[in-house]
Amino acid sequence: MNIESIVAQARAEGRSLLSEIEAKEVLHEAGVAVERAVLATTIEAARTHAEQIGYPVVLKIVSPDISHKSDIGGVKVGLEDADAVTAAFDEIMRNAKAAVPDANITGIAVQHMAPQGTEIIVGMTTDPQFGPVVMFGLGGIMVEVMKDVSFRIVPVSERDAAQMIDEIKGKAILDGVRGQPPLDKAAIAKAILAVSEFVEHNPDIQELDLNPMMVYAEGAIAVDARIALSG
Amino acid sequence: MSEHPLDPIFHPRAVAVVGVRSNPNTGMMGSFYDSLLEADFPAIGGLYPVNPKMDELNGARCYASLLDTPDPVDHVISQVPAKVVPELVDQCIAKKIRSIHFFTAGFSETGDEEMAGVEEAMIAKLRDAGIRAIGPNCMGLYVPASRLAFMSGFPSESGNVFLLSQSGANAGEIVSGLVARGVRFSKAISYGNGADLRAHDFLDYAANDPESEVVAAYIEGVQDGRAFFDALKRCAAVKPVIILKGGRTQSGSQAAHSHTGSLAGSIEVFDAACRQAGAMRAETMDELHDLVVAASTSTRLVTGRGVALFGGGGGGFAVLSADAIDREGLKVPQMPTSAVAKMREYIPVAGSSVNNPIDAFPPEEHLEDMLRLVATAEGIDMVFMSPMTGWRRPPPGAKISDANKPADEPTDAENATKAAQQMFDLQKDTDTPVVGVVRSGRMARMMGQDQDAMSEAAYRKGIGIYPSVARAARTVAQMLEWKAYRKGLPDIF
Repeated sequence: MNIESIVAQARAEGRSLLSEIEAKEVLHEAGVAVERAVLATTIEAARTHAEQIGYPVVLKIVSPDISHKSDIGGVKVGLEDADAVTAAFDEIMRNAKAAVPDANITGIAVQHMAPQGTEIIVGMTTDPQFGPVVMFGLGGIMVEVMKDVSFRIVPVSERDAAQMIDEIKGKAILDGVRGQPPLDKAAIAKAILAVSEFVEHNPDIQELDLNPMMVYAEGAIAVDARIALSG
Repeated sequence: MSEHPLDPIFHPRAVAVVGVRSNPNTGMMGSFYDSLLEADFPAIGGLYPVNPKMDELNGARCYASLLDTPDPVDHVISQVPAKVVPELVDQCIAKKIRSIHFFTAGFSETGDEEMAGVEEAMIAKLRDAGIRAIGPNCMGLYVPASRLAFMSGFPSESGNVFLLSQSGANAGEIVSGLVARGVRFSKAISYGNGADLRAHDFLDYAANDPESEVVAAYIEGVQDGRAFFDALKRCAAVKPVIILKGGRTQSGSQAAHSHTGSLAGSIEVFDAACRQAGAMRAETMDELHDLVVAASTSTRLVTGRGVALFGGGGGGFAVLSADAIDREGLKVPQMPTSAVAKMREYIPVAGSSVNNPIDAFPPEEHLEDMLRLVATAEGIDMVFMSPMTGWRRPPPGAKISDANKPADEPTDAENATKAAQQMFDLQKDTDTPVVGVVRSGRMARMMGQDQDAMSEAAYRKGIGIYPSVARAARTVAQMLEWKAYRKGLPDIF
């Protein structure tokens, strides 16, 4: 499905938030490296998808009524085989129903589990003065506690993307500390530029987060994605 | 003069001051008629006071209405109360003026919706008639070449700096503060509410104005961020632009909405916009002044980080100065052994240091050689020089000034001229930029440094003077950082 029809469907359903599966689909089409997710409504379907995607996999609840998936036990990671998928599927459903009894549950998303890398965030927000703005920062504690992020106004040029990456205080981490190889800054820049281009051409988008995105010595991939449409 | 559509605003053929005050001594702000007389606007064209309560103002005819004034009138300064502005707007349209500056306040800035509506309606009406408005709630134009001035005491001499300021008082402070540093202006505009013309219009004009080489801005809020960013980009691509942002607003509502939004208020985005456009950000009024001086003098030419600090002041001063320089990411490299040996020949005095910082002044006959040795030493990219043009010998407890100096000592102006020449020659002979530093208080006076006289004399020789080593170091560091993030944009120095 393309962005127009996904946005149209969300609007028709009165949603301003795309589901994770939808968000990842449109980002994938826009050329952003994401771990795509497939919806399963039954255990059998989840097992089939897991076989096709390849283990290990992650299962996550999909529900318009549940936004903080991890908090209610709606996410299971590191599932290595079909039995683990079966057990996780049941558990997630039980947890979701216990936490939000009235929740409308769409199903469960199955995705490949990307190996642990250095976590970064690439995001976009709509500034009241300047309009769409792209943000970059290191993930986890660096972004939450240190607020170590950089911004640029859309459209972002290659020069801007390179500066955003170099501007953060924790940039030494990207250059490789304690004998670690340097991380793939070109892959980060590519994600920043792809997000900029995507939001530039889709003014419906109010906010967007790739959080976290895993960066490696070679390559980078977003493992979670969130897109909010303008009101 | 330029082809820009706004150019005529800066070159009116005649000006009417409507609602002119009868008593020019009611305050510094708003004595426009007197400022224009002082600037000798009548040498350019008609200057018409308008006030129905007076027939005459200091011997000049005072008109009862704008409609009574001779034709043409290009520019109107409105000092009338807000409630009679709509009537004045109609008269301006009938009079076919080109621009109006509203000193008049009491519109949208009050937060009153009715007055905001009046502001909007009058601007729409003026626009339809092809009349541009500056303000309301501002001081308007200072254009020395056109003999326009909004305060008394502004120089009639033109310069290369273009200033736009939302605040009238800050516009005055920036102009007078920088004038004392030797800077002169091409144009300065205080534009207040920016109901019609606003930051992006003036940035666009400045980008295309051949008389403006450096652009300074004091901005509190941007009404149209996208247009501002685009104009800033165009302007900063071709000229140094220095922005002081007042009012650090937090976009609280945005923060509540999203994870990324909650991480930063819009001030971070504003800063990012400046960087992205290639403009410089000043954090304080002092920084704005220093950066404007730097952008207009040889300080802008500094490429490396190695500082030679030259000038007496004592060992402790040398230590604190080295700290201040290092703190900004600059270096105070040791002098090569051969240079130290050579300098010892010039200064055999114990207690003086001939390494770097050089806390010593050689006998006058060796000064030139020693300065050149320092400026050309390995690892030195600039010389911070605190000129000592001769000790003054104040009687104990007495203030030192031209008034009570011994007859055989030079005046402040003579000292300043000599120091400026010294720095200029050093820079010219060695191609090493010289960054001037003056001391403050009694120490400055004893060293023969008068801050204003020295700043002005050096500036005229293309050398920037800063009020402390710390500020000089910070300014150089900011210039270097700015040049680094400008990489990929056109080279403007």
